[in-house]
Amino acid sequence: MADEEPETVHELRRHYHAFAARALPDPPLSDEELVAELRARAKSEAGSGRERAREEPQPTQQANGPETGQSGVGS
Amino acid sequence: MDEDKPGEDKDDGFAQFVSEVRPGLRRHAYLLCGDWHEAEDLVQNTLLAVLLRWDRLLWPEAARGYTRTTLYRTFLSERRHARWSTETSRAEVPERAADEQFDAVGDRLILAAALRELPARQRAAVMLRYLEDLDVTHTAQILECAPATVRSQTTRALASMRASLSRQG
Repeated sequence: MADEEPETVHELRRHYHAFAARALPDPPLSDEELVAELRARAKSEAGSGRERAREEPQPTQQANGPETGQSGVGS
Repeated sequence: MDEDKPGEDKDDGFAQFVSEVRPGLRRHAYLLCGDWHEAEDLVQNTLLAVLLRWDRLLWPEAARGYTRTTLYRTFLSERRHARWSTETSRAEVPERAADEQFDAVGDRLILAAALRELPARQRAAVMLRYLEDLDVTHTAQILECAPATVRSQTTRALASMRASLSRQG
């Protein structure tokens, strides 16, 4: 079975570009409010020394990872 | 303890990083989760994990790569835990206003609807491969599976989506 279905991939990307071009709904917190909230949570977690339950990758793993495409988290 | 960087309110570049990556993160989180309420939680949890390691993310590329990886792994981890939980949060999320407002604008969210029909891991694999343009090896690394697994999942996912996209398109 083929790894890719070019037409479906093309269609997928076409819809994605249309989606990415649309304005997003307003977030519940502004950037400044979110950063303040995150810093408070980080301080609380660092203070309690609580281990995070979720799985988190090691930063060093990602430092060497390829960064391809322009549709990533920063776009 | 006061020297811990994550909680410090100072110009360490984190606020600027959040401003830069947040729109993309929100979009991808929405496509993963299928609704804005869950997506906002996922983005917050992802950025919190990034902040907790901020002092070790020395380059912008490292921070972006770590953020992407954390987004997908956190999503899959939360989905795994949700399966074993008695809470069926997804079906009962009360706050749908943002979804409805967004869905009402312009064309239908065909892409989101098609992705929603996929199992979580297939959805993540498809997004990494075809929307984030990562190769199979990098996708497998993020999803913590073998490249062959990525190939089989994307093949199955595309077959499902072909029907879905053509039905809706």
